[in-house]
Amino acid sequence: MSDQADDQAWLDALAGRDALAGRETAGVRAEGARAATLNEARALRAALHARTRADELSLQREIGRDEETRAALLLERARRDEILAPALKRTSGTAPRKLTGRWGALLAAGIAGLAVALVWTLRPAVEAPIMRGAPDAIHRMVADDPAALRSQIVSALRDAGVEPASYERFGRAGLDADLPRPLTPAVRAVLERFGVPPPGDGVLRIEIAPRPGS
Amino acid sequence: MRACRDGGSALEQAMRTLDREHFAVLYRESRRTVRDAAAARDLVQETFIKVWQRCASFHGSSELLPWLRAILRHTMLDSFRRHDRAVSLDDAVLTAEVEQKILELSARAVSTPLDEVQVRQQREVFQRCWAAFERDCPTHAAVIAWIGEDGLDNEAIAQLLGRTPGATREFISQCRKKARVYLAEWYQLAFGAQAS
Repeated sequence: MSDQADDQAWLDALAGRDALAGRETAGVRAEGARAATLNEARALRAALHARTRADELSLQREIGRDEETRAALLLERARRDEILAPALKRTSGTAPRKLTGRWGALLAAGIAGLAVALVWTLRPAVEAPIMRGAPDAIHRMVADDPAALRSQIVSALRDAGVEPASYERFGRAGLDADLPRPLTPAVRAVLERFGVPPPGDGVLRIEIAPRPGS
Repeated sequence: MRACRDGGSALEQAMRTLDREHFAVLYRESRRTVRDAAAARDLVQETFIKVWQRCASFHGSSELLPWLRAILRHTMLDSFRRHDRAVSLDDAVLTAEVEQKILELSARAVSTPLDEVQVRQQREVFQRCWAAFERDCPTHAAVIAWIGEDGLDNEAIAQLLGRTPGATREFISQCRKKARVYLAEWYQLAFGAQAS
C-alpha cells in the first residue's frame, strides 16, 4: 500500500469510517490496509473521545460567568469595529450596574433612547478614517457603479480559483472571500490589480460605496 | 441575520440574542480545542464579530450553527497561525526508530481488557503527550481532534484550511507524523500494555 493510501486509511479510521478504511477510499484502493495503520488510528480516536476535559459542572460555571459583562464586552468590541454605532463615553470604568424592576427598565429604555438620539445627532459628518490592512478590516472602495466593480473583482477572483460571496449592506456592494494561504500568485495579482491590500487574516472583505454625486 | 443586514437599532439587540443563544455551544467547542478559558472566550467573541461582518454572505437556507462553527474553527486556526511557534519535525527529533517502533507495536495489538489502573495511567500519559502536542503544533492537534471527534473528511479539511486536495493530503500526513512523535510514549504504553 502506498503512503498516500496508508494515510487515507488512517484518516478514515480516525474519523470512524472504518468500513471505508478497509475497502476503497477517495479513489484510492486501500484493500489490505495494514492492521497497524488501523490500530494506530482507532487507538488515537478512542483516546481523543475519552480524554478528560473540563468537567461539565465547571464548564457550566464558565459559561454562566459574568453574562452581562460578556455581552457588554461584545458590544464594546462591535462598536470599536464599527459594526455598531459608538456609545457615549462612560464616566466610570466599572461595569454598569444591573437595573431591576419596572422603574429600572423604564429608566434603561429612556437612557437608551436618549443615547441613540444623541449618537445620531452628534455623529461625525465625515466618515471615520479607514483602517486599511488592519486585521479583520473591511477594505472600502468608492466607484461610480459599485455593482459593476464588484462584478469585475468577483470574476477576477473566480478566475484565480477563489469563490467569493457577494452581498448588499447599507447601500454598499460587498464581497467576502476566504483566500488561500499563502496567497497564490494569481490571487495576489488580482488584489494588486484592484489596489486591495492582502488581508492579514486570509479573509478578504470589500465594500464598495457609490461615489458621492454619482 | 435580518437585523444584521438591515442595520439600525435592532442590531444591538440581535447581537445580544446571538450571544445569549449561541455562546454556550460555541464556548464548549472552543474549550475542546483551547485549554485556556479566557482565550476560549476571546475566540468566541471574535467569532461573533466575524459573524456580523460576514452575515450578509449567510445563506438563509443553510443551518446557522454549522456556519457559526465553521467561522469559529477558522478563527481558531487564524489564532494558531498568529501564535505559531513553528516547531518543525526536525526540532521534535523525529527519528525513523520512533516511527518504526510504533508500527511494530500497533501491528501486534490485541484487544486485551485493561484494568482500571492501566486505563487511568494511559489517560494521564495521553493527556500529557497531547498537551505538549497542542502547545507545539496547535493547528495539527486541532485538526486531528476535529477528525477524531467530528469525522471530518478530506474535503472538509481542505475547506477549513483553504488548501488544495494535494496540499491537504500532505498536511494530513504531517499531522500523523507529528502525532506519532508527540504521542510516542502513549503509543508505546497503549500497545505495549495490550500486547503484553
